[in-house]
Amino acid sequence: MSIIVNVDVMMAKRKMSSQELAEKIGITQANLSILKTGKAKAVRFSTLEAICQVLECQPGDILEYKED
Amino acid sequence: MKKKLNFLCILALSLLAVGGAWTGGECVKGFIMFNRSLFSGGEVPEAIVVITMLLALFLFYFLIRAFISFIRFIVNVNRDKVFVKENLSLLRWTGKGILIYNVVQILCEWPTYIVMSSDSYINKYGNTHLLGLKNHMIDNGYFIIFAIFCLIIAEVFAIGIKLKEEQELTI
Repeated sequence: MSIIVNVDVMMAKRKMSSQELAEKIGITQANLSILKTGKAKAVRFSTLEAICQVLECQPGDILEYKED
Repeated sequence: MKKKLNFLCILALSLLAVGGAWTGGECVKGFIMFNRSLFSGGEVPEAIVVITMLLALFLFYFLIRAFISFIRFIVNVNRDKVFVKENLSLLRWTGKGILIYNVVQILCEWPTYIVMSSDSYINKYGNTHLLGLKNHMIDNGYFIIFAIFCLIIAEVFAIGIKLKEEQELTI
């Protein structure tokens, strides 16, 4: 997929664990793992908003477009 | 909802079983009749009878597989496994099995009607060649429609499964 999810990069910058982030944004660790590994087909705006709020970043910091 | 579905599925299954047994017997009978008309004296060689029986077994394999697939589909739905890939292949097998059974059956009985239509006595009452096809469509048309409907439902299930997967992978 040409959309790359950089949640793990932002998590490393904010020194936050997967468990902590999952709890704060209100999703399961399994779903966070799907998001991190790029298996997710879609991201809800509410989830994106929560991630940006918790990680104090912009959607562009999390999502990146790279040509295949 | 399940009670209604079970009732309708059991009704469809019973009608299919009765129809399958009825038309299956007619198919073998028609094929033997055709062979009798080919060989003088009404003596059909054993090889032809064996081939007829093998063909009937081949057809019954598809019909029985279709029945089993349909039953397994009902069982899966009762266990709350609706939009799963297994159901997709089960529905496809139900449709394909019934369709192959009926189409091959029509093709097998078709020569009988051609022979019958060459008989001047029968021909007096109209074109039996066409009459045979018409009767067949009346007898088997519902099964063919059911089979095509199963295949359509299977494709709808394929879309449903894809949507479900997408829904599950939406974070």
